[in-house]
Amino acid sequence: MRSPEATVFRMRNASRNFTHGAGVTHAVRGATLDGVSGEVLVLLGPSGSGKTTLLSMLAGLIRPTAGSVELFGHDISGLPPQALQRLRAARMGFIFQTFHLFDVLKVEENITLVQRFNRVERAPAKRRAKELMEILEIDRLAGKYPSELSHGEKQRVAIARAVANRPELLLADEPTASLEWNQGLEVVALLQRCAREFGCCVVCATHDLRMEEVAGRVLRITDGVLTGTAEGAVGAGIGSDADAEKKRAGDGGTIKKPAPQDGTGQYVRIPD
Amino acid sequence: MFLYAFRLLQRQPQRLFLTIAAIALCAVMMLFLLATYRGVADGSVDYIRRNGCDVWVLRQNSTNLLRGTSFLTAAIENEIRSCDGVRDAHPVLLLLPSLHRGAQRATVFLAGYDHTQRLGGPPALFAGRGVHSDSDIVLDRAFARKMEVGIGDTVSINGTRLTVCGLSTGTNAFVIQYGFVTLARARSVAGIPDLVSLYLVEAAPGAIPDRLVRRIEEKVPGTAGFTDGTFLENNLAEMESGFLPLLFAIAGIGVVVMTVILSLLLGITILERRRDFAVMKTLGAPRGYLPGSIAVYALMLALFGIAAGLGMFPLLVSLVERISPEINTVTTLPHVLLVVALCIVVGEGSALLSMRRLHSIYALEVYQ
Ligand SMILES: Nc1ncnc2c1ncn2[C@@H]1O[C@H](COP(=O)(O)OP(=O)(O)OP(=O)(O)O)[C@@H](O)[C@H]1O
Ligand SMILES: [Mg+2]
Repeated sequence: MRSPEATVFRMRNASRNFTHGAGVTHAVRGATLDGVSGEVLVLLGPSGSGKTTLLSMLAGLIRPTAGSVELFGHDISGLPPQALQRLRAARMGFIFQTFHLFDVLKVEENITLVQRFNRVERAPAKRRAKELMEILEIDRLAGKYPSELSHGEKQRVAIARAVANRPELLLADEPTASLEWNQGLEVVALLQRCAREFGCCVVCATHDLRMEEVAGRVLRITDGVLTGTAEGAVGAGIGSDADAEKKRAGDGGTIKKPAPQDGTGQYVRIPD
Repeated sequence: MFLYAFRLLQRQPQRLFLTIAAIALCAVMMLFLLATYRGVADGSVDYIRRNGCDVWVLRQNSTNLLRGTSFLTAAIENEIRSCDGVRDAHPVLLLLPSLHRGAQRATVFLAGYDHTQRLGGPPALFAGRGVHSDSDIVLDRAFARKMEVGIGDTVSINGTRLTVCGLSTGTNAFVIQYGFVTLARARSVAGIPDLVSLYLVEAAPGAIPDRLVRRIEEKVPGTAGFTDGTFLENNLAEMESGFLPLLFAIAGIGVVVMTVILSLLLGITILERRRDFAVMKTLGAPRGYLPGSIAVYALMLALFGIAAGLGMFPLLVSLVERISPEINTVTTLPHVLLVVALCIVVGEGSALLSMRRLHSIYALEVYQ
């Protein structure tokens, strides 16, 4: 577990424009935002509002056209592509709406491959994959190919893959959008666990209002502008007594060490 | 890299099979050409290589046996013999008559030689015996198979009946095969009693062949002498000038076809797996991982293709030998290694060509 309040990213007045022909799209305008470890940050906004663009900037996949984005203390504008690649491999995890698993690889291989990207040796990578599969209750799927899995199972595999390198920043773009209600709930709970038990800063772009319930902070984005920050439940179970805890603390959304219990009442720790 | 490339192959069995088959065919074709070349090279010059004489004496301006006409008179035999340093000289008459057996007819490279001497006859006998009398003929083994004749069978040249007494090897020059008769028989077949094509000269002990050549050329005007080594080189060069360009052209076409097939296939694979590669870029795959996977993928295809090709090759050779016995193939390890190396180079070259497509895949595509 990392120190709970380490700053993971710092976005200052960041804007991103896309030019196409004569036109310019202002996908993100002057966003200022910090992310700290252990926090679930939910980005709510209608389609085309700039959620993915904001996540892409946090991933270092695109640079801001104005303002700055700092990742783990480094301004991404000054980092060469290879340094960004190393940061993504070692310190970030990614979850996508359509899972984006490697469908020629088996489940276990999907989880080991990203560790190989991070230069983890084969044997420890396999051990870590096994461990994560057990925790996420997908160990029986180890030898299957993604095409043989349900959507919910795929997203669990994707989560295992995303946390395999013990990332400090987990970026999830519409992680529940392709899932049925129950599967979505599970994923929400799992993301919350990633933050709470693994100390990740989870940034989740979504339409799914259930995410609000587990969010440390809820940000609304409209037409590229972060319009407001609403406080959500801090790092606790879905609809848990975390709100009460937060109120007791009276600190309006500062990260708190969570109670040792998840939404299902079972405490399963994701080892780091 | 290895895992992803391997699984990619494994998950596309049909494509894998087709690609391997294409590479295997190209490898087999190249191997076959090289083996034929070796066979032709050996068959074309074995008569010269294994003859054992020290100096070859031909008509001036003739440089080789394969493509050239040389006629000398029988009268110069004694002049050559009397040269300083010559131990003996043996006449050989070379002709290109038609050989008949029933309705079958084929041209044979007929060597008439002094059968009482050691030199000038077949370099090696596969079966039967050498020429003992004017009614005997030794035929190249492949030629005999082509003509469907065996030892004891009768063939005819210009109406003269000859009995096949032996089958020789090392006498198959691909486009033509040797036959051996007595010098007297060759002369009677040609109807030119006092002509020979060349003399095989044995040097006396201690005589230096290079000097011998000069002495003979000076003493016997109108002749050209060659040491054994030079004459062998001349003939090899002559054979290669007719054969190697063809060989290179076909092998070149094979290499180009294989490169095109492979780069197309790799290009298609990259486009098909575009999303995977974009995801890999997003997930922080090291810079060399994507091109490395393509290189490994191509290498595996090449190696599987070569393995299949090497497996198929003996079958092809035995099939060709059955259909066209005159095609003599000799497979050597350096040639096998050359083909293996060429296939790997083609595989990696194609990978390199198709890798450019990776540059146009962007990590950001994962969000589209
Ligand atoms: N690479 C790009 N080139 C041009 N325009 C882009 C690009 N990426 C995004 N945009 C534009 O920027 C705006 C914001 O897009 P973005 O994908 O960030 O929205 P979003 O909130 O993620 O939408 P959705 O909920 O539909 O995924 C849109 O108008 C989009 O068309
Ligand atoms: Mg989006």
